[in-house]
Amino acid sequence: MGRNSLEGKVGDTLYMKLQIIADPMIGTVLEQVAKNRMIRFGDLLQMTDPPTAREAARGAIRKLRAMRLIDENESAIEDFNTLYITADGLSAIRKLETSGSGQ
Amino acid sequence: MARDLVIAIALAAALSLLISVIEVRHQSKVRSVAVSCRSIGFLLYFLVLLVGNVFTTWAAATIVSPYLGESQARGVNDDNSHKPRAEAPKNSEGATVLRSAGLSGFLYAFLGVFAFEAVLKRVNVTFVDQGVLTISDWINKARDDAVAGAIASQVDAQVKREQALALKLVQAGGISDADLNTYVQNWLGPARVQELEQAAEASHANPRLAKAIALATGAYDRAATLVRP
Repeated sequence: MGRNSLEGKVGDTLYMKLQIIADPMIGTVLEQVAKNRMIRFGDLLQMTDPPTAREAARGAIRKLRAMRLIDENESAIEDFNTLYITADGLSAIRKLETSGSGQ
Repeated sequence: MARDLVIAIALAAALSLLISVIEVRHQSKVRSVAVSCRSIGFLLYFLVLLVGNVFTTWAAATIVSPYLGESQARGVNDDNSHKPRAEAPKNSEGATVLRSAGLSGFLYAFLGVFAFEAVLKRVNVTFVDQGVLTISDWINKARDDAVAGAIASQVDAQVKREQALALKLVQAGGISDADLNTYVQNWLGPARVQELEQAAEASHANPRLAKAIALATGAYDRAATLVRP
């Protein structure tokens, strides 16, 4: 099911939660980018615990970019790509925190 | 009253600007004020705070001024000034001091900004799960845009700074190919030279510039020492 069709029915926050449940790496990457506001791809791989596999992280970044929660400034070397949080990402993090604390 | 109100509103505007700058800098973790405040998002966030703070300051002045016993206490509704003011409280010593020192404006601004920050900003009235007066949501959205704008500006500024350094490294008087390779190898990793040359060749790019950009991106501070006079 595509993002738009699901989003229309259940709302952004639940859609994100479902994505994170389906792929926990999405939550890990979003959390790190949101916490640091901007981070190099190479640093992101090292900051996650346990260290994240490159391909898994790339997949999560692709999904997060598709959801417009983060953006990426690409460089000649992938490790130096800069990932940074967007307005939608900040809003999503706040919603996730609010809905999490309410449970 | 009119003069005090002008002072109060000017102060509220200044405090709005100060609060927006502090909030956006803190939330975005962008150190430079110039970078963090040059987005449209910041302007909108500032305007939201400005409108809220000016409104509450005006309200505070209207409510509090009779208690200070100002001669033009009803300045905001002067048409009623001919009416007796039996209901106005007596002047206290503190009120007299405030008034004589011309500090009423400061008091109104302080109360207004405090009222907005502490009370009105947290208002979220919903009716049948639909937001009716969601001031808190509006401000959060405006702040998110401002913070994201500051972060994007910072990334943009960083890229420009790195590109400028890379150009200095490869321009005439910069470092030689052999030196460039050595620095890339030492600072970015042993396999980086080959990796960058292959990537540049695949896209018909300038390998020397690609290596300089990588050096500026991956080790900016150290690379900057290579071009300093």
